[in-house]
Amino acid sequence: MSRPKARFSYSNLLDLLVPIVSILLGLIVGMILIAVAGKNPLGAYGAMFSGAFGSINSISEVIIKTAILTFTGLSVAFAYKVGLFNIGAEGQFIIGAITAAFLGHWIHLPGILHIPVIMVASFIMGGLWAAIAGWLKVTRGVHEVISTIMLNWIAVYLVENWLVTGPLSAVKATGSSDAGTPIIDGSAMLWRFIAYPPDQAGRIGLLVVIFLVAAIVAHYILNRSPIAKATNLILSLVVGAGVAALSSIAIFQWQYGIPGDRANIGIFFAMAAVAITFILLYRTVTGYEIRATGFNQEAARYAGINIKQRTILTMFIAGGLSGLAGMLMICGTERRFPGVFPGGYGFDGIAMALIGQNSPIGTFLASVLFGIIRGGATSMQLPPYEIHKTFADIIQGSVVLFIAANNIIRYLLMFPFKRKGEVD
Amino acid sequence: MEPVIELKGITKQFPAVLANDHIDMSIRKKEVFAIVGENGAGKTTLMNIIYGLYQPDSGKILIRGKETRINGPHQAIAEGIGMVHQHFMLVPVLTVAENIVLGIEPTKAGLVMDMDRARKEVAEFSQKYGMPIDPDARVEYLPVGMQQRVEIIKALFRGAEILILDEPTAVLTPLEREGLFLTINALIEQGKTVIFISHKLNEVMAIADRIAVLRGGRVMGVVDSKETSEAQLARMMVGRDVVLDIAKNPQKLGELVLEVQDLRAKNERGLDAVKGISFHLRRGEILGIAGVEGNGQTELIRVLTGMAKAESGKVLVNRKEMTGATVKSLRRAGIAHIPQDRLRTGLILPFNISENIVLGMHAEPPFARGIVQQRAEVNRFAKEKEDEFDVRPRDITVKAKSLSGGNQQKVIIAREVSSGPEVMIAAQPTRGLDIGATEFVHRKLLEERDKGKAVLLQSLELEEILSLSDRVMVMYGGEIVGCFETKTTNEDELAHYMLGLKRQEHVKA
Ligand SMILES: Nc1ncnc2c1ncn2[C@@H]1O[C@H](COP(=O)(O)OP(=O)(O)OP(=O)(O)O)[C@@H](O)[C@H]1O
Ligand SMILES: [Mg+2]
Repeated sequence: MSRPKARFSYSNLLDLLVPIVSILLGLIVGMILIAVAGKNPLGAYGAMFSGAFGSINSISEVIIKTAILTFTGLSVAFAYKVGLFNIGAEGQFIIGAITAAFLGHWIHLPGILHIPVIMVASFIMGGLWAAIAGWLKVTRGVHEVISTIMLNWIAVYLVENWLVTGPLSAVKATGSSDAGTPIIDGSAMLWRFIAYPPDQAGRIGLLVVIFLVAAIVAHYILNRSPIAKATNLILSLVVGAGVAALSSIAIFQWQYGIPGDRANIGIFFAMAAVAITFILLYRTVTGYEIRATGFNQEAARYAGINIKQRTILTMFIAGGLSGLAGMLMICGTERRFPGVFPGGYGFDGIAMALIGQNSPIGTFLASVLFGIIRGGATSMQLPPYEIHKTFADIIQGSVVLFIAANNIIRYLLMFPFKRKGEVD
Repeated sequence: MEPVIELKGITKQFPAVLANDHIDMSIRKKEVFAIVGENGAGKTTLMNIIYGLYQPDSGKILIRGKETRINGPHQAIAEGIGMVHQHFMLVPVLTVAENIVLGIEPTKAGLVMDMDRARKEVAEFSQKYGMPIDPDARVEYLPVGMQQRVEIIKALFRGAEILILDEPTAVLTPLEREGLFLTINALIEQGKTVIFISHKLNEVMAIADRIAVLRGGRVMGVVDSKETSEAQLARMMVGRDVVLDIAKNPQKLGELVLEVQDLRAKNERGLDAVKGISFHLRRGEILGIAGVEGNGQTELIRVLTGMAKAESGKVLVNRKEMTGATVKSLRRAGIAHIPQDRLRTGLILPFNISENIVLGMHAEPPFARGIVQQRAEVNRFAKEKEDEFDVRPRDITVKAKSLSGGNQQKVIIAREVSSGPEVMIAAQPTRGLDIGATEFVHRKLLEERDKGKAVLLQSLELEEILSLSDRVMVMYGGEIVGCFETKTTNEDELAHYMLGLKRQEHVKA
């Protein structure tokens, strides 16, 4: 069957150019500021990028940051598809994190089960936290920006100021003097690329994940061909098993692959989440209904879509994605809910979604870029530059500003093409 | 008469279509210049070029003999050109006066907006052109005819000498149309020039001095309205003879499918709009709803299609009570709905044709299996329907927002007809369609009837109702004031009921 051929259109190109130009402008603003401070901007940027890739440790930090940013970014982007602005990613992130910290220490399961159970629980808890805002919106008309901001504060006080210092603190649980919650079980720790060799259960868990992903992808692809359902199922299982068998060689042999510090398989979860949200949004009835509701509620109603239910569901999934970000942080990097919580990823997620133009893939690319900038910013702190690492925030902030002012950029970019003027 | 606007070789290429192909045209001062052509012929595009919304790829525009580049609407306005769009561009929550002065508000001491003066100026202005209107009314609560009046005054208020009206009559009742024609004549008296676009050839013949016919982006000819006929225009537009009246097969009445008992409903403002309506509809019949806009037809249809809730009363579909049922269950029960407002209700503009053509059926097989969308199936279906319903351009990836008005309507009709309905509820289904497409839709509706389906047809066009319906009911003030066998009534009689001058003692509908 012939596919409709894709046409080049300047307005599509513009959608792509706007974030790219904004990022460049943001980097230029950063350079100007460095120059104003009397330092060499190119040198500082050099230090930033070489810092990001200069050591195993920093590469590892880049990977970790990218994974977490991807999840919170997807969360904001996903909610936006139904027309809601999820400022509450931070709160959902915290809720997901404490759920993981709690289940990681207080329940004991073999590695093959422990991680999946925590994932599901963090997703659900983060999701429910966000769904409150969705529910308030559709039943009481409370604006989601207001309710999610309030939920953020509730999460902060509830978790950081009470649970972590009180009932769930390590002091209470184990009598140790560490701040934060107690260290989670080994079975709840995400497999780090090396440094600490993974246990067998972790490897098997990874194989199960690979098997499921391969089978689902195969099922999805085969679904488009005219074969019977049962055949499809069997074939998908065979494909999944095949891929898993091949990977098992690599996994059990892989002792000293990429050496790294805290980097963990969370980055693969992030990539899978990008693929899954993309498929969910653009290839399923649910995603179609979510997007329809986001574009035009009246027409969505006309199509028989239950817009209230879709709105709440979207918020639930969005919150779940942020909850998983929290889970990654606890099970992957921190291994406990620390006394001083390295938060802010939820708010950064808003920037990632904006820069990625609310598309799953764009959000991922933005997260990679800012993972690098944030990872590298640490190196700029060293002499001769001695630039504070919050510098990354300045770049991020100015990029967001340029994105928000996208009409100006569009106008400037359109100038040479003004006579074509097909852009509306 | 010297020309006020001259177009020379105007060409505009969109990604999928050549919308204007070397258009030459000259419009004289103080004339009503009509432009006719099929859906997608390029009329709106050409007007948008004159109004500065699009830039032509090549060609030039001369205004009062001087070559001018129109970079945007502000410049068009400065040149004395005003435009009333096919789809209105008013701010619904603002008042009439606020809308009219929007962007050029009179101020006190250059700072504070002087609403009193604005109100007064607007009132004087509407008086001057014989278009009375209440400056304090909120636009969203005005009938369409009045909203259009606001658009016209808005353009004149900005000093328009040349007024472009893109399908102004598509949304008007016959009475409102007469009002508009009086306004146009008054404008011409005062030395203005009017460019008038319409699909209704009788209107064009009545109001225009000269008529340009567009086909496939090209000018097929410009004719003097005194020296042409509707048939000739139709032939120029379509390239073949057009049969305007269609033969109706004898009726085969079947079972009862839709029954409405003492239905009451409020409108969006919370006022009683449907006040105790009862009627029934049987298979194999087309029941027309006639009435002046704003007499409860819209609310009645919203309730029947599940878009709004009734206050009281009953609705039965296939003898099963479905009062207060959701849109989804009504659709499942076989109710299809061609909505009155295609942009607000019938389409999701950022979605492409394929996505729009399954709206409402998107979750049912074969378009979905479980929650997985079957895109190949959807695309196949979309292509088939594009051919069957002649949607142009023939490209299922085009977004609904870049379709011409008529083609947007065709997408909706294709979808609703193909959903295999038991009852088709059609609100102004041919609004904005060209004669060929109108004829096509009429045939489709009659086919549904002959297949033993039921059709509830609401239209402001009496002609349309009389030529299609088997029975007609007239709505006035939220009630059914009369019901007639189409064979035994005529426009005059219906008009009396529509205006509330007459009503039947016991309406049996
Ligand atoms: N912004 C746009 N982008 C892409 N294509 C467009 C755009 N606007 C119009 N078109 C295409 O150009 C062609 C001409 O459209 P136009 O709106 O001028 O038709 P029209 O004569 O006004 O039709 P109608 O009677 O249906 O309103 C159509 O095929 C339409 O799909
Ligand atoms: Mg048009």
